[in-house]
Amino acid sequence: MKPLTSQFLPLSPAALHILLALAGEDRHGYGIMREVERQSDGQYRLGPGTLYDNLQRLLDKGLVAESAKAAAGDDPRRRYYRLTNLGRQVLAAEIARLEDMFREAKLGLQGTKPRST
Amino acid sequence: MRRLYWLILRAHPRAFRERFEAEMLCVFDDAVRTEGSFCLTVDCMLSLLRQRVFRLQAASNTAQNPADGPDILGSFSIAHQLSPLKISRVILGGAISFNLFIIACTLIGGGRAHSVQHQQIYATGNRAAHALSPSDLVGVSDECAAAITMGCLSQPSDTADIREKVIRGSQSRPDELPFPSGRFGIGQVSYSAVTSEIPPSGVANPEFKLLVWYPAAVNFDTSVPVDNVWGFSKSTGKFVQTHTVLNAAPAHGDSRFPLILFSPAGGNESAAYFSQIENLVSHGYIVASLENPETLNVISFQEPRLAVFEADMRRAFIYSVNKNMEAVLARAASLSQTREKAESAKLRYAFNQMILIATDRSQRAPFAGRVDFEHVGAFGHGSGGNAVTQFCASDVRISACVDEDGWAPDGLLAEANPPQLPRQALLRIDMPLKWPDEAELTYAHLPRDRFTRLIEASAMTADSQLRSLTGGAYHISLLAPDLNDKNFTDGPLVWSMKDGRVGDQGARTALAAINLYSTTFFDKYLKGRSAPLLDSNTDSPFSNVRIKRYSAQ
Repeated sequence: MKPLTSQFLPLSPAALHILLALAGEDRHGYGIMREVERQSDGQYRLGPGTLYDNLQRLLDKGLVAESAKAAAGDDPRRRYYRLTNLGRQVLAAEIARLEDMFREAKLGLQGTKPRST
Repeated sequence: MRRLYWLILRAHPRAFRERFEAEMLCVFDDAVRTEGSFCLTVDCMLSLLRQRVFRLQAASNTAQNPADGPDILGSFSIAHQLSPLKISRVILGGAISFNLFIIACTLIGGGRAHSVQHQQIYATGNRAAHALSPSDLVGVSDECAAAITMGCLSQPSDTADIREKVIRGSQSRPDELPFPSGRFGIGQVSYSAVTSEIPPSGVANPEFKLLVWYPAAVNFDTSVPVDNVWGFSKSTGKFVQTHTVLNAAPAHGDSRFPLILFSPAGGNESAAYFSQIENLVSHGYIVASLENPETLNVISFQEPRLAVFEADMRRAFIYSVNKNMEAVLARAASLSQTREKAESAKLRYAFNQMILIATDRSQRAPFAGRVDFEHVGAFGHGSGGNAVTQFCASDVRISACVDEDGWAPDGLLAEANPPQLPRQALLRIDMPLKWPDEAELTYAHLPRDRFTRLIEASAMTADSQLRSLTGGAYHISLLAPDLNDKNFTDGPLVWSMKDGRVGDQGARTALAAINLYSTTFFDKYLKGRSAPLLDSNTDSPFSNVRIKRYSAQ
C-alpha cells in the first residue's frame, strides 16, 4: 500500500518553495514571497498570482491551513498560513524523494566519468 | 495600475476571488515598490489565465468524477492538469487576458494611468468592460436618474432647475433636516471597540464607537427615523427629525457601495453632520466614523464625562497660562499636530474595522458583502479635514479626499514639513474666515498684523501645496458673507428652527451647496462619472461660489 503522502508527489517548484517557506514559521502572503526569494538567493521569485494559485490548491488538499497568528497593527486583509501535519509529512517525503533523485544522479554522473587507466 | 490589477482580480473565478482578492491587493500594496506594478499586473493576468483555463476544468472534472479528484489534483505537476483541457477554455482565458492586456497597454501608453481614466472605462461601458460580467462592475448604473448632482445631468442649462429642486426638496418639515437628494434610504448601525492602536492624543479612555450609515431599503410609512439630539441642541433639549433608521434592512440587490470615512471637527460628534452624511448615503455610499467620548467637548446625556483633550486645547490659547504669544502658538501647533495624527489613526482604524466587520459573517452586519473596498474616500471638517489630508497622504487605499475648512499655519496639514502630500485627488471647501474683533485680539494678546500674516501665510502655503498635488485638486470657496465654518454642520440650521420655522434659509442653501459639490466629487473619483460642475465653466446653481482647479501633475 502506498503511503498517504505519495499521492501528493512530486510537488511543483512553486508548491515546494511555499511549503519550505512555511516550514520555519507562519507567514502571510507577502512574507512567503520574501522568504522564497531569500531561500533561493533571489533566483526563484513568486508573484502573488502564482503564490495564491498554489496556495489555493495547498489549502484545498489540507497541506496548508490558515493560522490565527496576527501581529498588532497588521493590515486586516492579511491572512497567515501554516503547515499542517500532513503538509509537513509531504514536504519531508518530497525532500527524501529529491535526495534519492540526487543520489541517483550523482551515481549516474560518476558512472559516465572516463575510467582511469 | 492598481485599479487595473483589481479589475483583473475581479475577472477571476468567484471562489478564488472571494478567498484571495483582499489579500492579493494587500500583497500588491506591499510589493509594488520592489516588484513594480507592471510585473505584478502581468503576473495577475497569468493567474487569471491559469484559473480560467486549468483550474475550472480541473474543478469540473473533480465534480463530475469525485473518485478521480485526488489523482488529478493531488499532483501539482502541470502536465497532469493539461491532459483534460478543452479548447473552449483556452480561447476564453486567452480572450480575457488579451482584452486586459490591451487595457494595460492603453493606460500605460496614455502616460497617465490615472484613476479617472480607468473609471471612465467602467462608466462608458466600452468593449473591454463588456468582456466582464456586468455584475463584476461597481457603481455603473444605479441612482443616476434620481440624483440631482450635475454629473448625472446632460445639459448645463439645468442648473436653475437643480437649484430649485435642492432648495424645495430640503424644506419638508419645520423640525426636519434637509431631505437627502439621492434615492436610497439610510440605515445606521454602531459597534463598540476598545483598542490601544490609536496613538496617544490626550485620550485616556480607549473606548471607541464605530458608527456606520449605509444605503437601506426604508419605508418611511412603517419605519421610524431617529430623532437627533447632539451637542449644541442638547442644551435646549431640541430634537431634530433625521431620515436615518436604526438597523434598517440594506438596500435591495447585491451591488456594492463605495466607502467614505469621516472625521468631524475637533470637539464635534458625527451627529452634528447628519445632513452631509445622509445625503452621501442616499447617493449610494457607505459612511463610517469612529468616535471617542473624550475627544468631544460636549457632555453626553448618557455618559457624562469631561473632554480632557479639548480642555487642553482651550488652555493652550489662554495667554495668562502661557505668558507670551510665541508659547501660545507653539503649544497650539503641537496640540494640533498630535490631534491630526490621532484622528488620522482613527480613520485608518475605522477602515480596518470596516474590513473585518464586513467580511466576518458571524457579525451579520447589514452592509456585509456590500462594501466596495476598492473605491474608498474620506472627508473631514476643520481639524478633521487636516486629519483626512494626512490620512490620504499615508494610505494608498484611499482614492478621493475632501477637506472641509481645515486650517493650519503650515497650509493643508498641521504637521510642519510633512514627509509627503496626498497623491489622490483632493477637494477643499472653505467658508469666509470670521475675522476677530479688537476685543478678541486684545484678549488673546495677538496683534492684528501678526494675525493677518498668519492667515495670509497659511493661505499661500495651502495654495502652493494644492498646486503640487499629483492627483489634482479643486478649491471651492462659498463666499456668502453670513456663512462661517459652523455652516458645515447642522448647527446653524438647528439653532434657527424655532417656533415652527423651517430655519435659516442661508444655512440650508450652504448645506445644499456643500452636499452638491462633495457628492459630485466623490461620484467622479469613486464611481467614474463625469463632473461638468467641477470640470467645466458650467454656471454653478449657487451664487457666491468660486471654483479653483489644479490639474493633476
